[in-house]
Amino acid sequence: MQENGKEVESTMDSSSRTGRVGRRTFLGTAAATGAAALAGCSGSSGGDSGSSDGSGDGGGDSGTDTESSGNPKQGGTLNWGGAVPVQGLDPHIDTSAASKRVLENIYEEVVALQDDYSIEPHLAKSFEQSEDNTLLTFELREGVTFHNGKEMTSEDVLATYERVQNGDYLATGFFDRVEELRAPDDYTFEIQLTEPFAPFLAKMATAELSVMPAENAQKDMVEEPIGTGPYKFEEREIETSFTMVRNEDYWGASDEDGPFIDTIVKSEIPDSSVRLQSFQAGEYDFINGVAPKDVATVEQNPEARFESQFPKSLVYLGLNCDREPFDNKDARLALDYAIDKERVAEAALYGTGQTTASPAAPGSPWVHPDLGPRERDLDKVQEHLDAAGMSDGYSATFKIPQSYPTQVQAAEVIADDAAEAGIDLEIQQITWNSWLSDVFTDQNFQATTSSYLALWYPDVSFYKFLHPDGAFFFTNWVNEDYNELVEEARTLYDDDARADLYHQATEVLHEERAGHLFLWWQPSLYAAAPPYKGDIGAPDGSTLQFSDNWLDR
Amino acid sequence: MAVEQHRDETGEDDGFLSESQKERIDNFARKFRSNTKAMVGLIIVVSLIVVAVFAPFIAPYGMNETSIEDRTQAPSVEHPFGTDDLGRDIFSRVVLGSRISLYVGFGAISGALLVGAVVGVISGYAGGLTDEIIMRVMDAAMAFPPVLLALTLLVVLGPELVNVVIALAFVYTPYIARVSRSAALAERNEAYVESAVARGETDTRIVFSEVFPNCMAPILVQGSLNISFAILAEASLSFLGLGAQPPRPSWGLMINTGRGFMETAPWMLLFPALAIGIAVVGFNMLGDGLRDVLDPKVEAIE
Amino acid sequence: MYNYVLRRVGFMAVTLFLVTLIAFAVTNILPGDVALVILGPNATEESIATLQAQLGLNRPLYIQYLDWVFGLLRGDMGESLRFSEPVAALIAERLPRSLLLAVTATLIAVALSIPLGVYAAINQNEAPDVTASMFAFIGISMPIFLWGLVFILVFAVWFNIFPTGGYTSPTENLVASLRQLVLPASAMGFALTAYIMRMTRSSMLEVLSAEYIKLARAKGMSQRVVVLRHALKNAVIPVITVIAFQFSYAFGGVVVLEEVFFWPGIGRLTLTAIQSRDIPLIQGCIIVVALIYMISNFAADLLYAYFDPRIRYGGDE
Repeated sequence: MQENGKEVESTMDSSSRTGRVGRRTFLGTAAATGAAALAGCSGSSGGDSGSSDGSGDGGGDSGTDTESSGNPKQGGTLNWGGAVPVQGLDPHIDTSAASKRVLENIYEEVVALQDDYSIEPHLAKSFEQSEDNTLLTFELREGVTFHNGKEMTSEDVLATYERVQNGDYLATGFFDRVEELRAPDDYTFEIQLTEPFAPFLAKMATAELSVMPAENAQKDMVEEPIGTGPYKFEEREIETSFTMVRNEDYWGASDEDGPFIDTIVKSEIPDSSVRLQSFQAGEYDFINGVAPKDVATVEQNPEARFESQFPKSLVYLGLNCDREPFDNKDARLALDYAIDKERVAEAALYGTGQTTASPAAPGSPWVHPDLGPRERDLDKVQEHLDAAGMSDGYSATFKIPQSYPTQVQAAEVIADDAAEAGIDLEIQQITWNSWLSDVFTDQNFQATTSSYLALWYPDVSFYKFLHPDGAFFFTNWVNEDYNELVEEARTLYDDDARADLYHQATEVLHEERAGHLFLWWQPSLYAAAPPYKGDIGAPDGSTLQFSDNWLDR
Repeated sequence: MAVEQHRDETGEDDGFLSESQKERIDNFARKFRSNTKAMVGLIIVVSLIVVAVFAPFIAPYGMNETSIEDRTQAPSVEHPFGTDDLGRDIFSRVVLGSRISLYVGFGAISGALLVGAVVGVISGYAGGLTDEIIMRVMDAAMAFPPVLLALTLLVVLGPELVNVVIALAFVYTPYIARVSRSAALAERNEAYVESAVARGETDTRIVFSEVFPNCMAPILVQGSLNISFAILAEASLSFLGLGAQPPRPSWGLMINTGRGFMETAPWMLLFPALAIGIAVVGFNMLGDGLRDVLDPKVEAIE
Repeated sequence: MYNYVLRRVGFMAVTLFLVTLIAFAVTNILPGDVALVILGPNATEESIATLQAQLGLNRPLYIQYLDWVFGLLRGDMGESLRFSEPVAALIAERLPRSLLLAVTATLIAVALSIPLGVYAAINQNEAPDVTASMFAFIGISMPIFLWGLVFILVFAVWFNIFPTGGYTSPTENLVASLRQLVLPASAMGFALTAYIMRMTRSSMLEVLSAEYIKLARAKGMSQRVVVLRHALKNAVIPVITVIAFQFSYAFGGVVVLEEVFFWPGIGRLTLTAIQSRDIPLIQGCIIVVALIYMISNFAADLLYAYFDPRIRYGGDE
């Protein structure tokens, strides 16, 4: 548990705790120095148990047991078949999971997320918070070098944070409550907040505040990634491949923890069937993004290791509450009652996912214990249609990003369900680009689907998407009660009190049928060939960390 | 051979068709019937049209009747073509999909014929600078591979079926125009045109009542050949996700989805592919046959 | 002949100018916003506007057009908005791969179809002819991407002889490169075979019924000699032009085929560019593809003219 304003014993080895694919922590070094690190759980991360096993995986951890299959071997080249091509290379700008999966191995942050959702110092040796939680002081590690040979000092950290603060980057909004950033000496970094702000620490553990050399921080857009991580950027061909090599001078390298693999080559193969076929033909050691329909095929392959990391992302139906017909609450409720969510999830996920009525990550304390998705009820549909003054039903366009086949399949089943009840949804497949401009920016849509990554800190789920000031607010549902609840939750540090507020907020959004109609949580599905050893996945559920993997050919 | 409006001594028209015209039509029908290729093609095309028109009656299920419990089932008595990944009956979807293919095929080519034939004949007849300019513009449009051009247009217009028709009409207009122009060029020097000019008829009248009908043959041949291209193009565009939208049962779209199930449920791919093949073969045979019958030397652009 | 060529070149130039107009017009009506794609969904209005200004997207259209055309003449196609690399470089990297595919496909098609066509012509209307014709018909009836999928299923998945797709540079690894080339080139070649075969066949038929052939036969020359020495030579002429047209058809089909096989050529680049509204890249790709298409059609036209005595020896078109 956490205590405010004091240094606290760190929590050790967590890989056994969560029951899912774990990841060894880097705390060995910290504990060894005797300076106990803080488990700065100060309300920003997921709760203590953090076991996000979820019940819905179709596959679970079948396959060989990874950790006991011999000692890690150095060397080799990993052929990784990737799903979505890496886009931008500036971690402060590009949020896409695809970019993060590689950048998380190249860049590092001041603090890092652990398997149990706690936050531990990473590039910092330790940190402490003042009594009133407004001053964060970090003692940085010495001897950490960037890939260009330069040593990391507080100057770099300061430059990094100032870049985000003064520019227009993803995490910039979080600096509203930052009064001052200071680097009193080469290895100390201080953040002075104007008031306690729980989400800030959590943000510091994400790629949006990756530490870069001061020179790079001066640029508007960084294209050549230079970080402190276990892997260095080597080269890439857009939409085709991306290559990283082992950082020989990595500060955290060790014989037990790695990094072991010499070179990682990611090939971009957007089509999941092709990717799987190539994997089964032996062309790749590891692939991510296995399609749910192919899970059975992978499991039947005696040589392949199938891994599932749940939860990964939440898929929802977005309804534009500023526009007809969904500006009418009864119309929204009618649709809610028309959809058989279990069937939809089954259709798209082949049993690997789980339906939900809450935006909070399953297994976290923010999930409302009693609230579930509405069941299909055609009578209720008619009731609400009548109340809405649309007794004969209504029609709406349904914009689906075509790059997500599961969403397309779901859309077809939803359209079928809705049609039976008199609601006519016209599916329009659009590119991701169009989705960003038409749906998200211009809000020129009626119904759509989208997803976001399961994030362990509730602020993202509850605030970012559903509060008018949130960065990803686009379904236009505004409710004063809800807003008050989540605003207050941001300032609290006590998990129980926070959880209570989030439960109430969930009730409100459910009753009022917020513009985000949650469909399901889905896992990350991976397949690995026998030579690929080590844990797969990362604590945040969406990225990949390769430093503890090795190849045994 | 030229056609003249039949006039008796008083200079009036004498019924809808002249004797010589009737004779030519009989001639044509006879030759057509004896050409196997043309007949087979005609049978296929007519069957397709019948299927498309009566599709809702022929198809036992709707186009989007999902049934998760029955997903990816192999062909059976209940589902002669099997079911797809959402449990829908493939036979019904293939039958209903014929409407989309024919809609696009006929729609796009009609559009192309309408614009292309007029533009081409005018261009050929007028000659000179008008001809040059129009042909350069047509060449420019033909400089782009058809699918690429249609793709770009669709992205501008938006992914709806009617836009596919518009885009493809645009893409195939130049080909029709070119053929029409050649035909018109050939006709321009014919005797009947000279005599019409001598009679003092206006250019417009000459073009539309005299020249045009004589150009119909090669234009129609080109048109029927292009229908099969349009059907193939629609399949490619749907395959790329830019054509008909789900849950519409476009054959190309069905192949796209079926791709992910090649090993586990090959029937999802097989039947729409066969359907495309049959349709294209049918129109090609018809077009080829027409060409054989009308005039083997008629130049068509393939 | 000379006049003819000159005039055609002149026409091509005019057409090319019109092509640039079309390419520019079409790409500038595209909805969607590349600045948004670059900056991501969280960008503010001001940053989008700033980026647009930086990229020169808010200048009057005709200025953008002129700027672009003059750049083209210098060989500069601008910079890809999304990838921040010169368009010319991106295209130069990918174009040879597509050409490789198209050329190989054409070669395969020629190797298959000429013998087939000759064989069919010799045995006109008998079993071999009918089968070959049917074969050819089926070849042109299926969409190219379908052949690609079928080949992948049979040769890569079931029999695991060839890889499912991808590309390695021949300079890096010749064997792997060739292996990856086989399936896509064959699929494309298969689709082309039909036309060339039919042309060969009809051309052969025409030649075989010519007087001088009958004369040779009457003189007692064997069938084989007749065919190979005399007929083929003359029959091949119109076929060459068909081959040239087929090459441009092959090149046109690469967009879809590259999608199926993950061949990183200009087809896929164009598709990506279109999907991300990367205007300079789209323009560059379209122009280059159109140019190649035009050039190969032009070459085919020239060949046709060369072999057509009416044009070759003077007179107007």
